This record gives sequence, C-alpha cells and structure tokens, in this order.
Amino acid sequence: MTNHPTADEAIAGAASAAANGDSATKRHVPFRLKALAFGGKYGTVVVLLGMTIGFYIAAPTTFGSSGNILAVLTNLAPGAIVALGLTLCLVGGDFDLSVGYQASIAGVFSVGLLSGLGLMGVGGGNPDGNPGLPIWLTILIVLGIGTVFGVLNGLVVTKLGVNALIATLGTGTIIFAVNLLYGEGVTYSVRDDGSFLQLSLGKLFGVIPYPIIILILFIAGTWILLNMTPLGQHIKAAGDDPEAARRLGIDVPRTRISAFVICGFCATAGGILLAASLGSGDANAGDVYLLQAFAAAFLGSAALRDGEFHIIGTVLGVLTVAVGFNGLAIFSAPVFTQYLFAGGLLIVAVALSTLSRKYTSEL
Amino acid sequence: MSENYVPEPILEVRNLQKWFGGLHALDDISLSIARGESIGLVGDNGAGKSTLLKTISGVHEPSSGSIALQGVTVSLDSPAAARRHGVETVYQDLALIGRFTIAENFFLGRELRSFGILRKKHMRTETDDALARLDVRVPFANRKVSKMSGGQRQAVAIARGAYWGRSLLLLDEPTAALGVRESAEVLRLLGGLKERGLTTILVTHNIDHLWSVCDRILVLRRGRLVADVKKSEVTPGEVVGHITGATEAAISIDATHLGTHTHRSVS
Repeated sequence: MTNHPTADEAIAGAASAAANGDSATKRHVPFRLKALAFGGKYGTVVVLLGMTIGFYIAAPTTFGSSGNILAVLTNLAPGAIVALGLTLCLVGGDFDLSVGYQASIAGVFSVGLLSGLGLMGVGGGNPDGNPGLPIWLTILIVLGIGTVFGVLNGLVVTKLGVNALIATLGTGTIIFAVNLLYGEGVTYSVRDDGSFLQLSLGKLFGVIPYPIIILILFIAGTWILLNMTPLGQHIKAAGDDPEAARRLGIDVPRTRISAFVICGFCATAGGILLAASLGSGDANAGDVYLLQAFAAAFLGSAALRDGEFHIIGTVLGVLTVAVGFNGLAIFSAPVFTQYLFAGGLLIVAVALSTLSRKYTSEL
Repeated sequence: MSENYVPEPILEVRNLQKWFGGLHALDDISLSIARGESIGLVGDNGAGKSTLLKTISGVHEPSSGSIALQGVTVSLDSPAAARRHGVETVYQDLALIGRFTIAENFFLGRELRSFGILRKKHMRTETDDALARLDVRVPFANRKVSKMSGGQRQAVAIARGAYWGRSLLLLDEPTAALGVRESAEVLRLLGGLKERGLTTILVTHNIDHLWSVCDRILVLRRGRLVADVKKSEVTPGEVVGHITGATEAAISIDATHLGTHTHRSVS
C-alpha cells in the first residue's frame, strides 16, 4: 500500500490495506491456504492441546493424575531451563552447541564440590574425609562457571570472528575435556547432608516440587529479560539486522556476548538441577539437552509467531514433546515411537510454519 | 550571502580532506550551514556526496580538517557519537529492524526505562505524538515495519530522524527506491520538516526533488565543492552544468578558489 497525498485518500488507503494485509481471509482464499496458515501458526498448540485432552480422556487416572502431571513437569524442568537460555542466544542470531556439555560439567562440578573433591577434582588429592562446600556456595560457583563459559563463547564468536556454530562446537568439546580432567569420567554419587537431593525432591508447601518453581522463575526471568528490558530489545535487533543495529548505536558484540552469558547461566542451572534429581554427577548426563533444547526452541519458533524464536514458544515446544513422551509411555508404546514422534513433530511443525509463511505472504 | 542576515551556523566544516588509500574522496571541503536551512547536496556518482554525508554522520573519520556543531569543534568518530551531538542520518537502506514496531524502531538504542524495565506505553504515545506532529500518515502504529510498504518505511525512518535530529538531519537519497506517489509523500514530509525549522541536508539525484524541498544547493564534483548557491539564484540547467562540469569548462572557473563562501553561479 502506498501513502496518499490527501488525508481522505490516506484513510481509504489504510482501510484497504487493513482488508488486504490484516485479514486476508476475507477475500476468496482457498481453504487449503487458510488451513495451512492456521496449521503453521497454531499447529504445535493444537497438537499439545489435542494430546493433553486425548490422553486425559483415555487415561484419566494415570495420565490425568496430579502425581503424573507434577512428575512430567518436574522431569522436564532441567532441560526446559537449558532450552530457555538457548532461546535467547538464538533470538540474537547465534547458535550455542556447547549447552549440553555445559549442563554435564555443571552436574559433575556440583557433585564434586559438595562431596569434597574441591576445585581441582579427582587429581587434586584424596577426597575422602574432606568436607564438601555448602550447597549455596556450590551453586554460586557452578553458575559463575557457566557465566564464564558464556563470556568465552561470546568472545570467540565476536572478537575472533569464528562462526558461532563452529566456535561453540569447539568450546563445548573443550568443556568436555575439562569435565574429564576434573572427574575422570567416573560417575560420583553425591555425599552431603542430603540437601542437594532436596533441591529436586523438596516441595513448596508440601505440594509443588521445587524444580517446577525454579522452572517458573526461569521462564518469568527470561521472558521479562527478552520482552521488557533494553537488553532484550538489543538482542532482538542484533538477531534481526546486526548492521542496522550497529548504525543505531547498539554495541552488537557486547549484546551477543550477553546472550551467550545468559545461555551459559541457564545451561549450568539446568545441569545442577539434573544432577540433583539423579543424586550423582555423570560426565555425559546433560549431553542430551543439546538436541532437546534445539528441538524445543525450533518447535517453539514455529508456534504462534512467524518463525521467530520466543520464550513462550520454547515452553510450548518442551511441553509438547514431554506430554507426547509421557502419553506414549503410559500406553506402553515401544520407546522408539517416542523419538519417532518427537522427530516427526519437529519436521512437520517447522515445515508447516515455513510453507504457511511462504504462501500466505503472497495473499 | 554576505549582504543577508546570516544566523549562527549549526554546522561548520573546515578544510575537510578524506583519502581512501590513493583516492582523494573529499578535497578541501569547507562549508557553513545555518539553523533551519534546507540544503541539497548533489553531484555525479563518485563525486563524494556519500563520503561527505558519512563523515558528518560519524561513519568515516576525516583524514584532516575539522567539523564544528553549534560553534564547538567535535570529534564524530562513530555513528553513536554523531547521534549524541544531535546529528541523525536517514540511511539509504533505512536501518529499520523489521520485526519491530514503529515505536520500537524509534527508540532502539535509546529506550525509555524505569528501573531497567522498558516504558513501552510511554514510548508508544511519544511515537504517536511525533508522527502526528510531523503529519506522517502510517496506518498501523502497532504494525511490524517488515509488513509496511517502502514509502511507509521511508516515512518512519525520516520521522525517527526528525524526532532525534535536534542539530541536523542527513538524508541519503530518501526517494531513490520509491515510486512517484510515494516520492511525493516523502517530499511533502520533507517540506513539513522545513516548516518546523529543522536543518536538513538532502542527497539526491533528482533535480525536481531538489527543487521542491531545498533552499540552497551544494554541488560536489570529483571530491570538490564546485558550487554553493541559493536556489533562487540559479536555474536547474545551471546546477546540472555544475554537476557535469560543463559550467566550469565554459567559464574556466578555478575550483580551488571556492572556499567557505558562496560561489555565485553564472547567469
């Protein structure tokens, strides 16, 4: 639509633009295009709601029990937190392939520090009999390490100019090396006063498990950061058009480093929570979160928005996969079907979203 | 110009030189612009228009020479520095973030906040007011810029520049990519800026557009300022002559003698 020289024409133009752009469906649009547009935007939400309602009706006492619902949410919390951090990085236009390794090393470090291995790990001396660090200090140190990982990732990407995909593949592999150096690849059970396990097992008011509370805090925190703060605006701008952002006076490198830092913080937080639920530090425990987090974020980018990564989308992505896994398990479907479901859903959702944008933009 | 009242210069460029390696892009440019003037900057491709604009907007640093804003010599070593001094630029590619609304684009990098939280409503009303003041006709204030037409985007970029450009607004070929009707709308907008007393420098290739909004015309050729004339004292044909070099050839002007002061065109 063009601007018009007179006000009356401008109003007429605005009206026709409204009819044209905002509610394209009022014209004669083929049904399959309407369906495509709907499926592209709301497909994931429909699948999530459909599964939830379907499983609930089919198995109200197992799937629908409050115990099962709380268990599903508790189990998805660590991976969801990793995915939330990754989402900020993706919004800023950068990939972070090191999140899984960061989550793993966070678990190993927390268990090591709590159990008296100290900062030097197994090679640092005999851990037996050494008092472990208090839990608050352990968490603080490990989250601090995640922050440092984020800074390193950001510096390699912005200052050395290495493509983020390659840079974080490299830093992730180095982080795994440090992981092996610290714990020698052995799985350690936590030896403390039992408070670490309470991080996962404890319940607020005896009802809501702590991991769910922590997850809600992380959802709120990352959402506010991305949507209510100048940093969030700068991350979005840097991801959308870094050159324009630079010319508008935004420090794009610093913005991208900040996104990596938030990502590292979240990845290690998820790793700590995972170790607390396992009661042990395993050198590879968090590795699966790499693919899970990426799948959730991309699934989320296809939901509600036009292919943009966003916090609520990532939460929907995590929930959809988790509910699908849980439902299939409850109906004793073979394990392979869960992965078939997750992989198929990702491809179909993203394909629908891409196609709908391609065709509906021409309407 | 000496016989007229000359207001305080808002921009003063003294002996500006810019070399890109062996290329002499700007050759001893000196000029003075008063508050409220509408300047047209013209010249052939490669004449140095964009280089001069980018030097004033902080993208290029001058090789030598100085720039003063409101009488104070300033160092414009980055776009951010120029913006701090109230020099705004409307770039050819507009520098708009497609996923943002008009208000978000207006305030990107200069967000209003309280306790670290964006004051979205305040920024939106502020933007609406600015658009209304400038009489910018954009149908959907809350629409993403990526869903707007080229003319609307151009209007948004100009309005943003006018909102922040308290000293100077630089416009790099704002009508180049637009159709006839959209160009007319942009020219109307630029005319409005003049009425509001904004100081503007417009780079353009279009003599008609130049004539419809500018009071004074600067002509660059091969990095030199070959003419600095009032629109009322020249004809479009003469300006074209300066651009191509035909005028100088005819009366053999020694361009190196053209300094800060107005070169009266041949008549």
